[in-house]
Amino acid sequence: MHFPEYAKWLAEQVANTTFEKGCVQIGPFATPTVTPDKPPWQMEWTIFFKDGLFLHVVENWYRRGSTLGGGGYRKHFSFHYGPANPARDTDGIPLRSELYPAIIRIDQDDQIGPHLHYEGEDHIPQDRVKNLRISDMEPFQFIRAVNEYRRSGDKFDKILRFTVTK
Amino acid sequence: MPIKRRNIPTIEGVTRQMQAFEFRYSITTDEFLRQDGLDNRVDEDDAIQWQYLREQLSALQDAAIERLYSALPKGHEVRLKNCENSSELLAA
Repeated sequence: MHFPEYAKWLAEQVANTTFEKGCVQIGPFATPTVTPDKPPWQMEWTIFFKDGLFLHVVENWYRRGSTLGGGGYRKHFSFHYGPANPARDTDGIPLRSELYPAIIRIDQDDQIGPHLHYEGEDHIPQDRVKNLRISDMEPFQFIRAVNEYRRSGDKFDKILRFTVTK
Repeated sequence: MPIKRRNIPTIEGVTRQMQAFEFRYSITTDEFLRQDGLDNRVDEDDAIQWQYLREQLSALQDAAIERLYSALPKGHEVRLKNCENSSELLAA
């Protein structure tokens, strides 16, 4: 994926995304590091709902070697929904805290690989999650799921159609 | 909702942020990276951000070297094109 292609896709997705009234947003940001068209880049978007919950999506895209066609690949992501800690970082994003656990967070990182934080359980690995390929999860799929959760009250495993095994 | 951009980071700014992580966890960035970011002492989110800062720094350094080499006579360009990143370039 090259940045102009990503930026076009992001703009289209953002234009088609709506939130309930009264939300406060930080972003969406999509910032390449060096030049407008080259990786690495980071995408970050935070939405605060009026009831004290917030949604935060972040993706880190890394450089792919020129022998592999250049461009970027998504190495890390974190999609979080839950109560907002009043303590914020310098960008105004709520700090993570055990006092404000996620209702759901879907992560991919090097430490644990693709995993979920769900229903009070942390670091549920992919092999315990059925019918959801975590590494393929897209931010707007997550955002739509959050909107559906808030609208319907259905649980995330029903909305995203996954099951967690013991 | 337009897509926004943060300020393009600088080598100095990224380095300062990495030094803040080094101070917080009392390990160097090299030590952290040698473990592929798997140090259990490092918070999950900090590990991701720390690795991303290193990727940013590498890209910024590569761009700086490209700018430097582009100012040299043409014969030097071949070597630049054969290198994937700054470490290979410096070794060449």
